[in-house]
Formats: sequence, C-alpha cells, structure tokens
Amino acid sequence: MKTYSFSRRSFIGSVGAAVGLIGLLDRLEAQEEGNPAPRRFLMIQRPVGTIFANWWPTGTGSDLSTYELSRILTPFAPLRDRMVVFRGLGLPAGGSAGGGHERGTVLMVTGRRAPQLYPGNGGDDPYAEGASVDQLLLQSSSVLQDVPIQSLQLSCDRRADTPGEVSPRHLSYSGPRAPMTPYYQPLEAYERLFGTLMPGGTTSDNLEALARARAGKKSVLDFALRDLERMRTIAPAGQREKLDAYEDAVRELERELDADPRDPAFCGVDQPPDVIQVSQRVDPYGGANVSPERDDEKHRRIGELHLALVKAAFRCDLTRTVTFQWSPGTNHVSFGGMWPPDAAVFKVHHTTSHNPETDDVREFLTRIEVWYAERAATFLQELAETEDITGRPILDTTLVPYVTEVSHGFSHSWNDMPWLLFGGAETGLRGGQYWAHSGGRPSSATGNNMRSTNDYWMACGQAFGVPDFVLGDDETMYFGPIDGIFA
Amino acid sequence: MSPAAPSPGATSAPPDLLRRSARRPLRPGRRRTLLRATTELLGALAWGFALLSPLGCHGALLEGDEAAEGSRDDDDDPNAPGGGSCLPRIEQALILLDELAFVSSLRDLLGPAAIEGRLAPDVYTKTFARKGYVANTSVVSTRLEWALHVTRDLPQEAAEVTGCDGTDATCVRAYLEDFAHRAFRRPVLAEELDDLMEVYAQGAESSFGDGVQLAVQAVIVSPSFNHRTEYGSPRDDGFYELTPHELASSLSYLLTDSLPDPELLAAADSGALADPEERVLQVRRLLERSEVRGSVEKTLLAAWTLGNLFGKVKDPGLYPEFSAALASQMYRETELFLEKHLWGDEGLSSLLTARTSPMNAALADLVGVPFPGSDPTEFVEVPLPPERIGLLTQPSVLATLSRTDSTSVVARGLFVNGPLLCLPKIPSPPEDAIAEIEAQLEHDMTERERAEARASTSPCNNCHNQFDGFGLLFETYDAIGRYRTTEKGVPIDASVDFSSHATFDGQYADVVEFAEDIAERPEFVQCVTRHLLVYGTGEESLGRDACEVQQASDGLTGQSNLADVLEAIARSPALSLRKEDSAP
Repeated sequence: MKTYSFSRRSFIGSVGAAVGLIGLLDRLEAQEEGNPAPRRFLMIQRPVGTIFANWWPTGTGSDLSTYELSRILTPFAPLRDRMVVFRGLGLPAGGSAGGGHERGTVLMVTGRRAPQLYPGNGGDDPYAEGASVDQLLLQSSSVLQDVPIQSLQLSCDRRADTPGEVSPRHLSYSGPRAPMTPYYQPLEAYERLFGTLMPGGTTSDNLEALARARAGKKSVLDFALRDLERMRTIAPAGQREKLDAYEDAVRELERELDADPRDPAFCGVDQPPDVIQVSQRVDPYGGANVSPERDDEKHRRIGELHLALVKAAFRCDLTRTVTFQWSPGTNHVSFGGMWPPDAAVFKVHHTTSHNPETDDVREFLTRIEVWYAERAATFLQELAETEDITGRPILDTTLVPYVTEVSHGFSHSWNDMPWLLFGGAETGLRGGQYWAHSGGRPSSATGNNMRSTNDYWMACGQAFGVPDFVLGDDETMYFGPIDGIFA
Repeated sequence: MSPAAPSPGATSAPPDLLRRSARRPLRPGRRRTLLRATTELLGALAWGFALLSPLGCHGALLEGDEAAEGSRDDDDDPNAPGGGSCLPRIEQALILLDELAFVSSLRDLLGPAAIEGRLAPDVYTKTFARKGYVANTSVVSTRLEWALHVTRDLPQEAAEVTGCDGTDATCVRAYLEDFAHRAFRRPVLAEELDDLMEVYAQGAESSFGDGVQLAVQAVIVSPSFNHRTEYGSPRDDGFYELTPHELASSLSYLLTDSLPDPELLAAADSGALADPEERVLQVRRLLERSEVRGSVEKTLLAAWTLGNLFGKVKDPGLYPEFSAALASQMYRETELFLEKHLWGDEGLSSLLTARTSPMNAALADLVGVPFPGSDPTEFVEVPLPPERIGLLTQPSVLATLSRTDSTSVVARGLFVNGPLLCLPKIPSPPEDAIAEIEAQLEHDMTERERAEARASTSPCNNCHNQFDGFGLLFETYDAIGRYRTTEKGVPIDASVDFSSHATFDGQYADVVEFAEDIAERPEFVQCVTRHLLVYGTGEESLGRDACEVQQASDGLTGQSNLADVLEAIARSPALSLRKEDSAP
C-alpha cells in the first residue's frame, strides 16, 4: 500500500500555520501512517462524438509513442505517456430505448439497459436504470471516500432539445431514476465547495463566524433528522426507503459541515467566481444551425471557472469524485470562427452535425473537437503541474476518462467510441498505449464485434482498489475488465 | 374478464392500411365510428400480439391491459366504492415534491420576491411520473440552497414578517406554528414545535432575526415540507381513506402545483374535505382564480408535450419566418385558445372543432387569413380558413410535431395515439429494424411513400400501422404549420382509411373530418381525464382504459368542460382511496 511521504514542516511553511489546519494535518499524518492514499476520478465529457478521419492516430502496435497523433489528439501530445487511446469500444446500446444522444449518455455512464422512456420530453428520453459509474466507484472504493464533499457534478450548458429532458443533462445518478443535478453556475458550485470554508483566511473572527454559520446549518439539518424519525413511525413499510434516501442525503450534507476550515485562497481560489448568465432555454437563433450570436466564448468561460474549482477542490482534498459535462449531447452552443466558408457565421454544434456530411461540416466538427481537446489538455497539464496538500502533482493520483455519448454524430453510431483514458503514476494506468480490440467475446448488447464500454469502466476499478468492479445489469452488457491497461 | 381467443385479423393489419380511401368519407353524422377500443377487445388484442408478434407492440399493450385488468379480477363487492367494479389499486405512498411544486410552495409561503434570483423550474414541462422520484444528496443540497436563498432578507425583516418584537417567545412560537402549519399542510405537533423553537433559540443567540431565519430554513429543508403523504386512515373494508389534510394537498398540487391556500387548508382543518361535495366546492372556488386555471392549462399543455415547442429549431433556408419569437407566439395562441375553450359551456369538444382562433398578425399571415386587428402584436379572434379546425391544426402543434426540415408523420401519429387519445402505448423500435428500414427509405420519397414502406415492412408495420395513419392526416401542414397542397412536387392526399386498424376505426378525407369525429368520441375526454388523474396521483401507469379513469370520466362527454373533469376527479375514489402499501 502506498503512503505519502509528507513533511509537516514544509507544508506549514507553504501555507502558514493556522488554527483550522490542524485537523487537516492530522488527517495527512494518518495517511502517512499507512492509510491508503487518495485517488481521484474526473470524468470529462464532450458532446457529439468525433470525426474519425481526424481522430485516430497513425501507426501500428500498442506503443503510442511510435504513433503520429491526429489533429484532434495533438493537443494531448504532452500527456501522451499518461494516455491510452482505445479502438474498438462499443456502447452496449441494444435493448434500450431513446434518441442517439439521450440513450448514448445514459448507457455511457450507467452501462445498464434503459428500456423505459420518460413520458413527454420529446419521446426519446430514457430513464437511467442504475447508478452511474462515478457513484458506483465512490460507493465501493475507500480511496475515493472520506472527503467533505462526496462527489461533485458540473455542467457548462443546460440546453437540451426539450425543456424537461433528463438523460442528456446528467452524467451522475445516485441510483435508478435518481439523477444528480449538476451545477451550471460556477458560483453555486463554489458555495457548495467552499461555503463551509473560510474566505479571508482562518482568523479567529472568521473562525467564530464560521462556527456560528455551521452550527446554524447543523441545527437545520438536525431538525430534518428529527422530523424523519417522526415520519418513520407513521410510514407504511414500503415507503421507508424513500425516507432512508432523504436521511442519507441529510447526513452527507452534515458531514460536509465537518470539513476543516480551510482558506479557499490556499486551495487556489481567492475570489468567488463571476456570476455567469447561464442560458436557461434555447437561445433565439433563427434556424437550424446558425445563431446571430456566438456563445462559445461564454461556454469556454464557464468551463474554465468550473475546472478552476475542480483543481482547487482536488488541491485541498475537498472531493475526489467529479463528473464534468461540457454540454448535453444535443449541444446548443454556437461556435464562432469555426465555419470554414465564413468565420463570421455562428453555427450551432449539434444541429450542424446533422447537416449533410460535407467537407465543410466535417471540418467544422473537427475544429470543435480540437477546441474541446485543447481545453481538456490544458487543464490536465495544470493538474500535472499543481501540487495537492501532500506536495504531489494532482494528476499523479487522478484518473480522467475523456468520453462522449456517440462516436459519429451524423449517424448517432455507438461503435468505435472515441474515448481516452488519462492517469498519473499512482493510478496504475499504463499510459502511452494504443489499445485495440482484438477479439474476445463482445457483449451481446454491443454491435459489430465491439468491446463493451462497460469493460473500459470495469478496468477503471483497478485504479481505485476495486479489481472486481462490475458495471452492467448482466453479462450481456460486458465481457470483463479490459486487460493490460493497468499495471 | 377472461382473455378472449387471439384475433389474428386484428394483429396482422395488412399493409394497405394506409392506402388512400377509395370512396369519399360519409357525412360526419353517418360516419359513426365503430368504436372497437373497448376494454374487452383491447385485452383480446393484447393477447393476439403477445402470441403472434414477438417483435410487435405487445409489451406496451400488455402493460396497459394489466393496469386495467388488476381491479376487474377482484370480486364485485357491493359495499366497495364505485359499485364494486373498481377496487382501489393505487397504494399508499410518500411522494417527494418535485422541484416545481417545491419552489411554487416557497413562493406561496414567503412571497414572489423571495424566490427571485435563482433559476426557477420550467412550467412548460411537468412531471407526471412522480412516484419513482427519490431524494439524493443533489436534491436535498439544492433544497438547502433554496432555503438559504429565500430567507436571505429575513434577519432584517423578521419583526415585520412575524409581528413579534423579539422579546416574546410565545409570539415567535405562535408565528412558527402558523408557518409550519401552512408549510406542512397539516396541524403541527407540540413536539415538532418544541424542536423548531430549539432551532430558533440557536439562531437567536446572535439575534432575533437570525433565529427566525434559521427556524424557517429548518421548515423548508424538513422532509415534512418536502413530501406529501397519501397514507390515509384505515376503513372497515381494509382500504385507506385519505385524511382531509392529505386530500387538501392532493387537490392543491393537482390544481396549482403548490400548497393549499388558507381556505382549502381551513376546509381540511375542519374536516369538511372528507365530504366529496366539499371537495367539489373547493375545486370550483379555486378555479375562479385565473392563475389556478392557468396552472391546469399548463398541465394539459405539458401532457400534450407542447412545451417541447420551445426547443424546436427549423431550417432557416426552408422556414425563414420561423424564430424563437414566432414559436412563443404560436404557444401563446394555444394558451389563449385553451383559456377560451377549456372552461366554457361549449365543452371540451370545442377544443377540436372551434372555427376561430386568437392570432396576431404574424400568425394570421402564417395561417393565410386576413388579420382584422389594428395592432399587429395584438391577439385577435380570427375565423379559420376551411382547411383549419381547432387545436390540431394550430401552428404550435404542427411545428412541435415536426422535424427541423420536414414534417414528421411519426411524431404526429404518436401524438394522436398517445397524448391526444391515450390509445395503447407504442414501444421504441428495435435497432436492427431501424437500420433495415432506413436502408429502404430514399431521400426523395414523400412522407406517404415512407409510411407505405414502413407499412409493408415487418416488423415495422406491427407498430407503425397503429399510428402512421394519424400522422398522414396532417400532411397538408408543413413543419411550421403552413398549409400546403404538394410535397416534393407531388399533390398531397391526406385521406386515411382506418378500417383495418387494430383499435380505431373511421375514414377521413383530412384532419378536419378527423377532428370533428374524435371530438365526439369518449376517448378524447377520457384521455384528458386520464392525464389530470395521473398528474394528481403521480400514478403514471394508469391508462385511459384503467377502471379508475373510466369511473372518473363516467358521465363526462364532449360537452363537459375541464371544470367538470376536475370536479369528477375531486369526487373520484381514485383520488381519495388507497390500497395498503405492499412492502417490498
């Protein structure tokens, strides 16, 4: 079992001694004494799949360093030795219902058949019938637990094809049909993460104010628990599960209040993020795929603010499980400067992907894929260069699946999913690999001799000390964890 | 009911289902429909599908049938509610308020200003399947955030809000008792009030205002506020009768998406609501308020999935006049139309048969009629051209049920089959069947040719034969609702003969004849009743043919209005009686 080599003196030197940090130091020392080191899980989603011709690297064999990276993968070049490229992954989408992006999103994160549709919602919105992979890993892995915020869900755009659609808007589910709503507004995510912490530092005045605020919230939650007790006495037996679910949530929020009072500035955010006017409904654009305004700049800003919070949260070990969604698969963001015939035409990402597949459209979609890859690569580089409270680069202990809900947006194909996996040394990921499916029984729910994406997720269990991690309702949905990608 | 023998004729509808009708339809009066969608026959059809068509629509049919059947299997009991034909099957339940109900309740407790500044839930889509909704950290954390948000100004306003000066604990206690009474929608126990006063005391260590703020937050985050119960009190026959307070919540969330107003709560406190006739009076009283009627109108629009219009985009090359602004005007037309027709003397059938509609100049232009008003932005009642009738030919409906660049026979057909008439549900198509049929469909085919291709391809035809015909009736209206007579240069024939249809019969030259006909059919009113009963109970599995719906809609006709429907629901045992919870 790996432990931290950690110097209390150097840590105090770096942040200054402060009353509230003592508890944190105690925890770090406990880790040094042999408790397992933390691991982090960060799913990064981008929408609408890829353009294969500009995605696959060129080369042979499994050594990625001998490959020539494609246009879309080039931004990841500095991370090549911590990256695995997968070829031959298929989403086990058979036996499920729903639209291409909607069903794809549910299958991508839950790996369970989703045969039922929400009434209304465009008629293509499937219920997720199980917890999502991030939540399942969190429940089964001690190295993801014991943090103030059990998990965090973030999204950069709320718009979907119908106002009430659920499936394209969620990457995390706590259980069947129980979506975990992401934060769209970075400031709201900030308040969740740092609301119990200490803006302005751990001065004694601040500590007193914080103690009061916490005591207040605790008494609010305590009332909820007493109320639950009373409700339990009159609830029919079959309804108690619902009360249990409420109680679990209240207790988790209570634990968040027990967090050490750390200074957000120390975690890397000295100011709360700007308030962004998050789009509430589909922006008025005149037609299928041209918008009078571009919103990629705002999209980028929201993404950067969210990711800065993720970095800060990882740095201070506030949470270890994060799902980050750029947008629903039916992405309504309009991009400027990307349409080859005219950079001043602002085309909408998803609807344009259903135009006839011309060279211009392919080029447009490739540029957006590069845009998302650049954002992800920049952030992962930051994680590689930023130390957490133990003095170790964050990326060392972080596993980062880079996923999308379809492979080929034009046809909504779920074959050859363009997924990557990043991870630093402590995750055990054998980076620098090109993995290609080379036989073995595909799952029956996966088409065209593809290896199920569930097998990808099951392999990820190895990074979190859960080698027997299973995802999927039964063996028709998976074959087994992909071998050879973890040491 | 015992399952009848499989009926092969009904299960293998021949591909000529969609063929143009050879003769002109009969006059409406004589073209009396052969209503084959009786519950008995439905059962037979379901069996037929189950036995004969493994890839077909049988799963969904059985589901509907099961829902209808469960109660009828019970022996008739003369003492049971509803004459013994429909024993309660909806179980006792704890129902988590969805976000719309939660936020609306906060608004009514604390005033509209309190909820400003946070993204409130959309009213254009509403949740009909509430029973599966459970709390998790994300839900409760959001509720806590709302609690902090809506109480942000309370410390300063506490004296004004409570009417207490901060020195008199009895006064605070009385305020909190009243507040929790409204929030919990039931009397507050002394023990609960003691606990709340403890919370208050904790905050009051800093200030009086902080104490009030904290106690109010505690109420908002509490499970008693966030849930409503349908437990009831046991009756001699083993069923459970919802308490007056539970009934007040049921009615109030059905009608307003919010908690009971003071008069409704008072009727629960006095026990008066135990009387179905008092419930009816309360419904009548509430429906006098336009915002209550508006809430129900939105519920119906959501049941018809018309809120989806707000996500619609259209190809600007084909439909340059379409914009988000025009879409919201289309929706406005339908809202105004519902306001006029849902509640009046002419009855629900007028929704389908009205020959005028409120339009502004842009909509009149789209529909192709002169705009009689002086202000082009004003909505004026405009006579419809002969090819238009009622709700079904409104641009909002037609544009919602179309694709970006073309109409959608499938979406329109599914709309009639599902939200409009509540015919048996249609499952999603199997993947391999989609690939197969897509290979056959050519780019330059008309919509009717495509439908004919589906109708002659197995397994597609098993299901498409049930609804494509409905969609074809609408082919003379394009993807934004403009009237058209040709598609791809080919004259459009929108006539459809349903004589080989499994659960529906009739022959129609166009959607105008169709609308006139279904306006008089019981399915339409029953389907409206079904939507509202589902919305009120959260029991999404209730089909139109379920005995609860049949019972509630007994006596309702096309001449009934929506108030009649809601009054019938208020009286119905489906609202007030529950079966014992079956623990898992």
